Amino acid sequence: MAANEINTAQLVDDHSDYLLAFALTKLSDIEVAKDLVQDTFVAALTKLDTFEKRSKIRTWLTSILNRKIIDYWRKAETRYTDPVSSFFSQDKNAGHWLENQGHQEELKTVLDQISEAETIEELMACIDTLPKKWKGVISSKYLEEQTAEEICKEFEISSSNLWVIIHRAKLLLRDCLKHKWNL
Amino acid sequence: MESVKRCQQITESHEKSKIVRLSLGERMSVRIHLSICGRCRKYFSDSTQLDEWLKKRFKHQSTVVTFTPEEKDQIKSKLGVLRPGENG
Repeated sequence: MAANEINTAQLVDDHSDYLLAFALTKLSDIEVAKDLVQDTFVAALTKLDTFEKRSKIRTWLTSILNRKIIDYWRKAETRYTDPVSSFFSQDKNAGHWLENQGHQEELKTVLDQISEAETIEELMACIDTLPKKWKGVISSKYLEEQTAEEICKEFEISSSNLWVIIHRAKLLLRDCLKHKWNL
Repeated sequence: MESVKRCQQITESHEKSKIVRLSLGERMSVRIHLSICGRCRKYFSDSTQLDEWLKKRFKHQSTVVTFTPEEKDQIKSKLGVLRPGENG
């Protein structure tokens, strides 16, 4: 498509909110998401000549944005050490986890007291506390319902990395919810 | 007691089993461990519950954040600098 066929103002009006919503499924910081969407438009405009008419412009913009999000994670990741769930606690008392944890309730027991809508609200807040990359993996898996193969490719991780991340993320989410509910 | 490490392996292999098929040996050791470990049984139950909530959480994303008209104008003017030939 020739560059002069595209009206940039129209482009922003048509796609910016969609792109922002997409970015926010993978990022917790609204300002970062807005910046990346803006960068996406700038990048798109400078390489309009590489856009092929076969694909939809929205798909094309989304793929540019997705690459920007992944780059952002990579940078963030080098500054970040993984948080560890209390499940891995190695202190002396942990040896008696059977007794210590025996009385603890399962998550689903709260459904007697709290509505499911509320529990999901709480869960959303907990998801925002996850490391950025984990949040991305979780949203790719549960929102976009991507296959394990697609997720591994997108995040450049091995399949064993994938289930380790899911495992640790779930432990942290569980800790976070139990903490909120005093379970 | 090596239980903490063992529980870590068993619960991790539970997440693995949702992605790839476990070997017969792995499945056996999970089953045996679960029969004696309440802590891991709770993890299995919580894992299923979290799967269910996570799927719902993303389907009902309630708060929709959008750009304000001013922010959109800002982006447009930034793009306008890149393409001086165009109005708006």
